[in-house]
Amino acid sequence: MKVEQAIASSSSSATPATAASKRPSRVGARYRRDVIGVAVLAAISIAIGLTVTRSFYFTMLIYSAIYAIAALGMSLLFGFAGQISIGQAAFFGVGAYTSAYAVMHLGMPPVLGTVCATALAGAFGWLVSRPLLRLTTNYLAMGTLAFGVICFILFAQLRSITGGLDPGIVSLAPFSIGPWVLDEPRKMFWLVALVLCLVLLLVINLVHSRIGRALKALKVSEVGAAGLGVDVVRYKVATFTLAAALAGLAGSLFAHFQSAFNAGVFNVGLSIELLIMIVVGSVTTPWGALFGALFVTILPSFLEDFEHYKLLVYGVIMTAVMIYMPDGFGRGLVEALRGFYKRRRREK
Amino acid sequence: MTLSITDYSKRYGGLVAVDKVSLTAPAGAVTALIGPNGAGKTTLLNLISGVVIADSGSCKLLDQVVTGRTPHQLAHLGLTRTYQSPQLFDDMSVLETVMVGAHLRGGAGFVSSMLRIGRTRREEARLEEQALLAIDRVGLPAALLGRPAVDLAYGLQRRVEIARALAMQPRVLLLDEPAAGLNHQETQELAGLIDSLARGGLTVLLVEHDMDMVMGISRHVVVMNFGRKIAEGTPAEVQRNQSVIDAYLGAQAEEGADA
Repeated sequence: MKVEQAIASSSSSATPATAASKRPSRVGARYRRDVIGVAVLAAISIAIGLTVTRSFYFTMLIYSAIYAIAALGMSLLFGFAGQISIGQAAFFGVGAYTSAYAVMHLGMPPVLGTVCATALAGAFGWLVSRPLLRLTTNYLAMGTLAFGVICFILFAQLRSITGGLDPGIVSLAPFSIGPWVLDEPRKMFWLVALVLCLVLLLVINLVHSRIGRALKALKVSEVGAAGLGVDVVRYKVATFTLAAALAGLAGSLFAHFQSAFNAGVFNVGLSIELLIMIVVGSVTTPWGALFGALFVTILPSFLEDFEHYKLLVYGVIMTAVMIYMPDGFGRGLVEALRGFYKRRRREK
Repeated sequence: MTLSITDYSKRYGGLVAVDKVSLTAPAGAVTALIGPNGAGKTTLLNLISGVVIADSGSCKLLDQVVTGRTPHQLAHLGLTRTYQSPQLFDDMSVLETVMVGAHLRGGAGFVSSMLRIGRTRREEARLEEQALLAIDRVGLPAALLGRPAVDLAYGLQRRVEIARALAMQPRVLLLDEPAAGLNHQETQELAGLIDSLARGGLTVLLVEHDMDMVMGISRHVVVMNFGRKIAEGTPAEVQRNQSVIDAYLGAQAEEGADA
């Protein structure tokens, strides 16, 4: 193409351009740092799996990891593409019930059930995203909130499939892969940690790609992104679908680990917690989802005596984070530590 | 003609922002669109780039009727633009911002991006290389590559925006007041850049208030006032045109009366 040649050949000085191709990639450096992070996470998980003995800790970490998987979807949807959803509990629920139904009524092995749960939640997300994503900002928040409430009512009322609020799903078999039955928290921990590391790696790959950059671009300026050829509607729909699928995957793992649960789990509170996780963690990096999930899961056990004030505490934390650390609590903490070390090094 | 529009109109309530304007822009030259403030130049640019849908009229891009196409569809056909107030992306470095411009030079979708198979990895390297070429082309120093684009000085932000547009390797480039807020030297450098891009085969449609720049690099000038095309021709012809002089001097006289 003529223009292509013009841009390439008339590069005022050919040297920096050719040098550019040999220089180590700047964008790639950040990607590699994140991949190393996943490797570190995997190593920490292995260390925990081998050394920790109290099953209470495993239980906490399993819930954290399960919520982190759903929160990673939120991180892509809200943090990167800038589309809010207060209805993720619906997809979490679809995942949980699909798994339960597939295993208990259709006699599928849990692995297959989980695949179905992920796919069905994703398909459901794709279906509702088309009308929902016609809305933006606050209206999208209200739309997804309403959608979440409708799904909660459906879960509670479709008793033949879900068991409703009482008794709900009772004694779903623990997860098993072929002959291995993951009937202890430690065994389940291995699986959940593995799934989390894999999902995190996929999300990090996506974030540091052509698609990830396009999502970040359309978050700030849909007009600007569209003018460069980004199919804004398609990308928003695909991200919503992906977030729904991840929530479904998390819901499926949750169902197997919990074994007994009712529709009450999938109420608006869960959707809000998933949102809080990434706001508290960080909206600008997938690592925020991990930090936030851990924080939100563990916090209530410190506030046991204040169970009724949980939402109040969340509210205060949310507000404080929004005002003082708009990039997220986790991110703020990291920045503060970094600044502290830099100052100390300078003093020396 | 690379770009030709016929009788484009846009009405906002009782205000006719663009009234049956036709113009053509050939490849390898700068076509300028000028006029006093509020003449409808930016609206016309929004119509051409698909940001706003025209009420009537038609648009042809590279012998294809593209009336009513969305901005990303037009980008696929090789048309892109810059904006009067730079539409840069927060949280993104200069390099990343320009890499978004190279979006259409890649083809990896969600799945292959997530799996990051070999092809995708090579494509990433290629996109980065293309972004670096475009950054080099507009003369941005390499030291700025890692800086957030929104932190840069205004003149540099404009260059980032042009680099981002060039990374797309467009056939048609619409520039909305690229020299606004630039000092004399920056404006001259920009004029040189736009001129050489056009000479390289690009179709440039330029909306600009800096008359030295417009008259210096444009082959064809279209003048608008109150939504209508009032004159067109070579820079010399337009400068002699009485209705153009009235439009500009009239506006200046009113300003003088206000002061």
